[in-house]
Amino acid sequence: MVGIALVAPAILVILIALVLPFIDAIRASTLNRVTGEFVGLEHYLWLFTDGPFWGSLRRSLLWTVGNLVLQGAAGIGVALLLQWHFRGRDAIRTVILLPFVVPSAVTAITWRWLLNTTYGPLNSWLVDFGVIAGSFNPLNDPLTALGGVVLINTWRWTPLVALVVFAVLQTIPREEYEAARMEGAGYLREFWHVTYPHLSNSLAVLGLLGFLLTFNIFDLVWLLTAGGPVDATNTLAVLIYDVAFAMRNIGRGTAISVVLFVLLFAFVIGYFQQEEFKEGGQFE
Amino acid sequence: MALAGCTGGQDTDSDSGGSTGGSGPIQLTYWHQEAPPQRQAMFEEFTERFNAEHDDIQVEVQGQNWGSVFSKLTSALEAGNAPDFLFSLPAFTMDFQARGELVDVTDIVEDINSEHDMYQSAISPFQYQGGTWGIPMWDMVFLNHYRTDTLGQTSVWPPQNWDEWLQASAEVTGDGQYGTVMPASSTLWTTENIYTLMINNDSYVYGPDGNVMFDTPETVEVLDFYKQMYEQSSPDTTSWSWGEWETSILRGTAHSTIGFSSWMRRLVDTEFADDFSAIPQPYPEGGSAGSIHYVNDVMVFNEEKKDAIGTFIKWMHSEAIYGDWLAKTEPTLYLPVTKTGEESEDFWNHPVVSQYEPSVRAQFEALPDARIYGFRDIHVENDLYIPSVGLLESSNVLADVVQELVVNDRTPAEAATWGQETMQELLGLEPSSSL
Repeated sequence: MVGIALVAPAILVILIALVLPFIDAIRASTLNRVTGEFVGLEHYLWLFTDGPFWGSLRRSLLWTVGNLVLQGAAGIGVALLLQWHFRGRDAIRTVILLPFVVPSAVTAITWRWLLNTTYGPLNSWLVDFGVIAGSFNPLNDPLTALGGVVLINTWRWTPLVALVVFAVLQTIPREEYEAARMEGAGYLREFWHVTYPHLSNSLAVLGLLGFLLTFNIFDLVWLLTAGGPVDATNTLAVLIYDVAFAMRNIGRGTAISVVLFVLLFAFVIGYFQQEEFKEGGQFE
Repeated sequence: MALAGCTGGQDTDSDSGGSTGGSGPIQLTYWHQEAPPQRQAMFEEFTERFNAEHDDIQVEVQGQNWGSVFSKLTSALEAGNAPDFLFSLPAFTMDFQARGELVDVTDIVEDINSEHDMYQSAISPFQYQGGTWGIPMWDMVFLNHYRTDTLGQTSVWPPQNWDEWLQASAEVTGDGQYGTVMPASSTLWTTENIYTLMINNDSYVYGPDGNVMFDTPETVEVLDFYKQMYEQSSPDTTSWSWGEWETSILRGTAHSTIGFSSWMRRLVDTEFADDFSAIPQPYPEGGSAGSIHYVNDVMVFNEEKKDAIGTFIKWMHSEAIYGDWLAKTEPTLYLPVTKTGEESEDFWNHPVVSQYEPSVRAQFEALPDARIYGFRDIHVENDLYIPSVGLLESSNVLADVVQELVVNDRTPAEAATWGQETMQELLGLEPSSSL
């Protein structure tokens, strides 16, 4: 009883802040919000047949997986570099966090300015130094726009990944590395047989959180490209905003929200089927 | 989940954002969407002046932004705590009138008209369905703003048609300099640019029957010209918004623009302060003079407080306030919609307005030919009511046509067909019988 009493406030908050709004969202997704008329599953039919859902879903998956892979690789790499002792390491460890603490709006404005081919500095530097023949802005080309926003988001979130990985690296006993070297292990085998096993649990949690957070990112994509050019960066999060507020169809936008929630919920359930989370696993 | 918070609330009758009078002053609340800091400051300053002069009415201003106001207003109306009135635009006003949310303000407009001689072109976009649904507050019109030291020195300036305009622009394009700024982003800015050219070539979105009449030879000509003119513009405009547009002009990389004059306030501090002038939009042979304009209006939600709202609006339109308020809020951009305002010394004596007086006078000259989608001559003549203009504007579908043209490299004919089909589906309309 004491246990129930202690968790009751939290459950109440979840009910009020999450469950009830979600139920209302399902209700809203069955209505024409202008007339109040009940339309049943009409919005869902539109979504899965005539609507842009599948394209946006594909882009969302590309966006999310691309971010996770790049952030993971870059974050681990940066953390391993910070393991070395060199002059100014502590200062660098602080400075690399700057991208993470800068607000999304500032990040977007800054990168739009940097990449601007007319008056942005990046292109002029690259052209002046002969790195590229002519100015280019990846955010303008539908073939490169999604990659461009992925890279910018990677720049933003890699410090967080690096920080978490770095913290875990500090807990790895030195003796294990010494033993590996004595066995003749090179750097890569050291990483695979000593470093990675200690990182895997943290990476599992980071992966779950990273997937959920990244999949839902709206602000940076919207501020950088507004889902363009020609829908090249129109992920599900952007599509919801576009349909609900630009197209002024809150019913359809809510339907997309409900589907997105179901997809992510199914992902979470599937994720927890991994061995690490089962009985007898690392996270039991 | 993200939208759940926006769809909550009870279906109550629209009530006031402020409280009723009782024994104290009448409380009013209004929203505006003028985000630039100096505009917000002026709205606050003049509202405070009104409050200081009126013990019986106290007004509170709440600044919003265009990106979020539709959802906020929709939610507020559902929850019963909408503002008493709101600064708006024609399409936005028609959208909420179609939802039955607005109060008829014919009497307020007639009072202002009789005292200050309001221009009919400013009132027309708000007169339909037997009422007047917006109180005109100021107008904004597109002009062709150009560099006198570059474009003005080309062999064909001022251009008498589109061919000459293209030629002049091409003469100054090169080495990172661009003859013009032709937007190609999915924004209202692009919509306004393409629609201005559509006005000039007698091209339409809506036909005389209110259905979609976009895929016409005239539209194909507009798109063809747009694609050619885009070659004289920075390729970055596929992702630009207002900020980048203004910056390119103020940094001197773009030598002309068809657009509003909002950037002139900052022009005075640049090396190009004395190098800009403006002409009416060049139009093709056989085409029409004109450009797009936006009459900013006040739409009223609270019938009970209509008299108090009218008092505030009439005060804003008064001789001592109106010209001064417009010039200080956004000099050269906000144009009076009454004769009183146009003759206001406070308006013309503002330093920026005074410095660029020829351009401002050119805007007044352009106003009689200025139009907006859904309110062109063929629509007014047929007394059409087209509430889908709100969705046309907010969806940026016209801008998407431009994106198809320049990003997806469709031919003008393909882009026109794509636009026709997309608009029919989006707006829920049939192809016009005039096609």
